[in-house]
Amino acid sequence: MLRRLLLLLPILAGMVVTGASADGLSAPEGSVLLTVEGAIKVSNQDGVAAFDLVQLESVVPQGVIEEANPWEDGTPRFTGPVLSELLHLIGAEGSVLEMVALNDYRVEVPLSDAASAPIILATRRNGEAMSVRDRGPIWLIYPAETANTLGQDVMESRMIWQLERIIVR
Amino acid sequence: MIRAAISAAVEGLVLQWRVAQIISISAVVVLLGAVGYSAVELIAQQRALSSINRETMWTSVQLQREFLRLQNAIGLHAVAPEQSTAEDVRLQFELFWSRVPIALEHPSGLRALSDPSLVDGIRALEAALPSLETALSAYLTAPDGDPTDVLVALDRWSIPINDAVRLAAHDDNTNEVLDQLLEENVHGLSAAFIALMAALVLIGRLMLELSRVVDLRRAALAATDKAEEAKARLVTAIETLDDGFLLIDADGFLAHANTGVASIFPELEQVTPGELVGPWIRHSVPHLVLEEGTTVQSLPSGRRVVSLVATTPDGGILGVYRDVTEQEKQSEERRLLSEQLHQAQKQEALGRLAGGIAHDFNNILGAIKGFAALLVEDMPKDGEASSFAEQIVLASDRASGLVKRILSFSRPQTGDLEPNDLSALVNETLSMLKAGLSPATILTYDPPTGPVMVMMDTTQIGQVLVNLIVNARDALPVLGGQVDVVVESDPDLEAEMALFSRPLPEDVSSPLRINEEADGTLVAWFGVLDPARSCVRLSVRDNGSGMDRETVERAFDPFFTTKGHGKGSGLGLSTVMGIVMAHDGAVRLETSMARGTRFQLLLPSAVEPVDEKAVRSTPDAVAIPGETILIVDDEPDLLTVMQTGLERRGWSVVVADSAMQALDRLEGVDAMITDQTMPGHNGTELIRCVTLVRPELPILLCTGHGAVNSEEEATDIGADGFLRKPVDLGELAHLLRDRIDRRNRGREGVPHV
Repeated sequence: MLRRLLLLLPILAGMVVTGASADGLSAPEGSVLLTVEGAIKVSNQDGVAAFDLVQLESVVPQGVIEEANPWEDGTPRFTGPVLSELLHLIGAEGSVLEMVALNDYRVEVPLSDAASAPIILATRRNGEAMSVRDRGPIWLIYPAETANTLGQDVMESRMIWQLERIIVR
Repeated sequence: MIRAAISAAVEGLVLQWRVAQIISISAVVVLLGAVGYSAVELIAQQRALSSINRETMWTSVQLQREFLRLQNAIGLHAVAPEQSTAEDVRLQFELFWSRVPIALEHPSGLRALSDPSLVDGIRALEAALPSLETALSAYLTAPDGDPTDVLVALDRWSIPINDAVRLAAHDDNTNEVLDQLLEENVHGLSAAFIALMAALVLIGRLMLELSRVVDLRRAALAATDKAEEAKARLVTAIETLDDGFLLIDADGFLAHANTGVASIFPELEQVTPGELVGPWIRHSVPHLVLEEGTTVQSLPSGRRVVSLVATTPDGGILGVYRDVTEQEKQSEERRLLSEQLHQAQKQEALGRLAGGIAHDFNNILGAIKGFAALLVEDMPKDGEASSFAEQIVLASDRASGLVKRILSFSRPQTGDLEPNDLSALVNETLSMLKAGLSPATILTYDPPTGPVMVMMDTTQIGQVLVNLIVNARDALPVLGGQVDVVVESDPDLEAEMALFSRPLPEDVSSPLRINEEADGTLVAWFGVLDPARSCVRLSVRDNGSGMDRETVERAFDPFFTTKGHGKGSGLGLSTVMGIVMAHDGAVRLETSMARGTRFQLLLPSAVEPVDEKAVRSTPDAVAIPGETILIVDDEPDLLTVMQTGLERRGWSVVVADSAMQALDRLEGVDAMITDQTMPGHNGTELIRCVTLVRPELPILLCTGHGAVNSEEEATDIGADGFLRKPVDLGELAHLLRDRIDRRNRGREGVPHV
């Protein structure tokens, strides 16, 4: 595990503010990659918080996880918004996050996971945006050490790829 | 011994248990390890298996599902060829694509299937994906495109995809069974694990219990030790008791019998503690008292036993038996000794009293006799008055004999044997004893014709006679009986001599020998007589109760008496035996329950009888003219008698009534006659003083009762002659004449003719 490296990078903190509208979040300009709905306080599109790639990479503090995982060779470098920061941004309140993939695969993640670990909504692998065939565009990546508390199986089952939608309950 | 064995056994058991403990705990721990290891392995295996199966199945199904969705999306687009459906087809193709590498590359992907050849089909699919994309893209971009080619191209991949799903499902099913088997194994192992844990707990528990049991056992052994020690101490204490100790429990088993009880009841030596003695003991040890209370009994062996029997709280019998034979004997002896001492003190007091009276009485008798003697001298020899006066002199003599007897009782015994008249002694003693006999008792005395001279201590023989007559009196019936006393000077003793001349057997502790004659008369005798010497016999016969053999055997034992407590000292006949033996005499006793008892005392005769009358028949002594005699006496009557008597014989007399006066009147006297007992200085002291001043002066000592009793004693203190009161005037004159002449011969060296 020498290669395990967890870096939390609050990049472009100022952009968080500039990217936010008067009520906290501006409407997405590009194609929407992720929508968050349910028990949230901040929305930008019909009660839903919708994010395009730029927003995901600019208004939310970014995290980096560079660790091996069962579906990848070597130690790819994943980057993307930190889940807890994103939820904080939109004022999410609840206990469960229902994660929905493009193929309608669903998995429930407790909100406490986000609070206790710097989970990221990875948008890039080794600096490259991820295509759908390559398990993009968003892959929920847990830091490997989370397995110590959750267990490897549980952790792996919650690392949903091709993520499209989050329902906060 | 037994206790040590038990202790060793317990320690051995503890050791065995410790070893068993170690072995069983080790075994259980090893088994637990094995079970735990197997369980962990199985669980890991099961988890791996199930995870692989689930994921492989999932991967295959996802692949199939995305494949079907793609086909559906193409179908929808064919029905409604719009931008949105086209976009959907593209998305579905992207999703389908994303599934292929996952199915191929993931460890729990298709590689995990039981038939790896399937992977080849999917790998061909992966290779065909770009061409499929091209074909799909061409279809979507062409206006009024026909999906048939694309669908046909896609459909050829349904076979490997469906095969993969089928095989995965099959594998999953198979593995499910295996999984269940594994799970059951895990369950079995869990059960074994639990059982082993339970065993471990059980063993631990058992060990704990055992250690408690061992601790208890040790404590019990220690307690047993202490109890044994205490018991041993108790037994030692009981054994050292002089008293007998017997404990029988409620069921009749002997708990303890010490050596003391076995020495009293020797039958108990046959039984040992723990034996059932209940019925046996009452039958075989009949004299053993087992009834509660205090009992005093005499055993057939003659022992006296005090039994203290109590019932113990549990119903057993506790008996303490004390042999009081010696104790009672000693206490009886002590009682007799004290009685004897008391008797002796009484006699001594009586003696002193009698002596005091006798002294005064003697003086009075002396005056009576003296004046009567003067009357005899003064009267015409043939006249009646002269005969009366002589009677007075004789009566005075008898009275003085009686006084002498009384005095002999109060005088210390000298032990000297002198020739004395036994008949006179008997006469005097009987006259003294008569007063003590009841009127119903007839006492006869058959005296010999003349004096019977015997070498004896008159006091002792008098005591023998008193004892014999008192015994005879006590043996007589209450209504009266007869006691006959006989003195024979020359008895026919042939039969007795044969008896008494036998030497004493040396091995016999008592000199007494007993014969039973044909008519039932018992004859007992002791003493040895010299056949060469003649004997006199004194017999005392009564017609009383007589004695049985047992009484005769013990008659001469000290402290033996048949008279009951307080009546006799038990010393009478033993004294008789001692005195007779000291006189070289013998005793013969005949007794019969029917006829009574006869005692015979045999005493050696004195060689020469003294004829007092010969002395008296010598001519009266008279004075040489001019001789002066000093008479010292505190009794004026006696002074007058002696003065008159001596003056009639021609002496000049000077009198003094005390020693001091006598010393003043010594001047010119030729002899001195002095009384012994006087107020102030006594005769002895006076003589000592006079012999200092006038060593040559003849001195005669007169005494009635006192320290001086014989001629020798008188000589020792410086007197030249000795006279017993009451003084016979003729005797006094003779002695005086003799002593003055002797002095004169010594002084002049000329024998007096």
